[in-house]
Amino acid sequence: MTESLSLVLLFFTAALFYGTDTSGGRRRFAAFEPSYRASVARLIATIALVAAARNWYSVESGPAAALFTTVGMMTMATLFALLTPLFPRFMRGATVACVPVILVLAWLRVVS
Amino acid sequence: MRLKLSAFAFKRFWDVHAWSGVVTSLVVYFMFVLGAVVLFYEPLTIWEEPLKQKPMPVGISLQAPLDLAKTLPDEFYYYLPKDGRGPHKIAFYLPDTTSWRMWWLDLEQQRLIPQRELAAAYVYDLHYLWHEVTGYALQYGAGVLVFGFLLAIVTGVLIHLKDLIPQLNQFRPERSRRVVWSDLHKVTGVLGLPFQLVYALTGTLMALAPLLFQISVGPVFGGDELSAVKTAGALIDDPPPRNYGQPAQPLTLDVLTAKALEREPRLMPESFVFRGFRRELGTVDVRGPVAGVPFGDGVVRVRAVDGVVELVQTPDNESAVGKAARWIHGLHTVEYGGLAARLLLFCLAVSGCLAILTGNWVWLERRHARAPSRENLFLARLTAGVGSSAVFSLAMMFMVSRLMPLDWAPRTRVEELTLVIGFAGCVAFALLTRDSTRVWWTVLGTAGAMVLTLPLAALHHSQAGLIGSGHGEPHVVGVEIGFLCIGSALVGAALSIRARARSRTARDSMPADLSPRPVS
Repeated sequence: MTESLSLVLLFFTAALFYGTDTSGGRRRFAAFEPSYRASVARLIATIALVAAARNWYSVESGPAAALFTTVGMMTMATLFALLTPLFPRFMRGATVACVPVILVLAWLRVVS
Repeated sequence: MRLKLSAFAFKRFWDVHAWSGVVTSLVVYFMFVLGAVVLFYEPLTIWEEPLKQKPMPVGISLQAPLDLAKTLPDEFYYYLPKDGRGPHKIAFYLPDTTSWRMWWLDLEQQRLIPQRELAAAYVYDLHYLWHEVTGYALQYGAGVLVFGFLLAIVTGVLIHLKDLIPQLNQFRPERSRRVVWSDLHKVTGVLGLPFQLVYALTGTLMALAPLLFQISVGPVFGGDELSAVKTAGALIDDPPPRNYGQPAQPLTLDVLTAKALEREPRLMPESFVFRGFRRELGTVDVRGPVAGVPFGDGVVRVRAVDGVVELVQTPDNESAVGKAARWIHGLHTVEYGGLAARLLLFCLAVSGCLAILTGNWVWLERRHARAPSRENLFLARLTAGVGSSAVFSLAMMFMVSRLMPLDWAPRTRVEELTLVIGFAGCVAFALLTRDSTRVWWTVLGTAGAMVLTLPLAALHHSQAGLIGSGHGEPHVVGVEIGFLCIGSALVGAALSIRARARSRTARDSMPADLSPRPVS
């Protein structure tokens, strides 16, 4: 449960950072086009990143949590940079699907 | 951050990046591919050896399995089963050689079973380019080459410093081949930068550690090898040889372990090193992780005849070099994060492989555009050969290991030969084939097909896998799911390369005015 939750949170973080980045003057995910939405998304991404690290810290040491988060962010960011231009709809869909998945996993983590 | 280098510095760094990259690329690529597999060393050893798939015997003393071995050398290693699975084992170097031999201690049938499966161990050793035939020579060469790769990384960062951030996620698959290779090289290089930097640095230090140790004993420690070993910590395993005195009866291992734990209760014993076995000054190293410390392996050395503690080496009392060594070792061998971290690092290793190969392709595209030459043609074919055969030879070795009878004595040698022949054969095929693209899809497709059938071939030795009739063992099932994913990815990549090659051939054969122009 801890692993899944951290991985999904990192995926979501990478998705939001990637989506709010600009390419040729436009946001990569059109949903973040007005700049205030991009700011909110980045804030949510930062919270998700901290949550992923905090979640890992609950089962392992601080250095291990920092290493895991760094490795996770590198992987997810590479995944987004390479796959989104090839499968844009799938990656956007996966990002949206992250929200309920995170909520369900967080709830399961709390009750278990 | 927009830092711009002078034209002179840019040109020099560019040359160093390109040349160090192209010289080191293929060996480092091979090490990366093996490293990606080695991440799953432990599950692979469980998958390949049915003895490790059984639960360990319960309620037995530490000494009982050891007593099965009637004759033991002066120095040997004794390992406890991991995670409650498999039998105990002993291992040692054959006297005055670097040949490592291992035996399982089968308590049920009161016998010693020689190690009969070495596929995962070969991959592990070859990751450092170590082999008992070549000794440390190739390993040191690998250390130097990885240092060259480190140079390529640093100069790569310097030449792209002015536009590092924009290149973080700029991948344009619709553009010309040269732009696609360049984008792929930059995305995988920049996003995986911390990973590649850490692994190149720690890998260099680990590969060169024995050499650095030897050359520092004289000038730094005044020739005192024992003090040098204490300072070096996790990078050096063995203390120097010494005289262990006359024959004497040691205490049992259970008593010795209890004495070690009295001194360091946080130690969780995993293995033991006996030196000067059954001699009056003989010692036993009780080794294992120390609870609550990151990368915190510890050793308590006790004298075998009376249990006097000679050495306690834990993260609390180690030297600064020892602390650095512990982090270097812990970072490189992923002593954190469990399976999730290993899966992520596997993806990063694959992305590192892409960064290396695309670096070569960028070099080739640039050079070929300027002036086609035989050297470039050779490099293109060699890149295709090494790139595809690294995967193919591993698939072939695992397949052969599943098809041979487990108790057939020469099987470990045959596994080794299969790896070498598979690799050399593929490289020869690539060098003799005009079309490198054809090499890629043929070899990757064949490797993928082999990997996909591994779970089926594994039924020959064990029913604990994905499609076996027995009770599924989680590690075995996990490894076989991994094989299915990797096999599918390889076959998918082969089909995609073939489809693109065919569409390019069709486009090239069109009259010029009908042919779609690539955007560059």
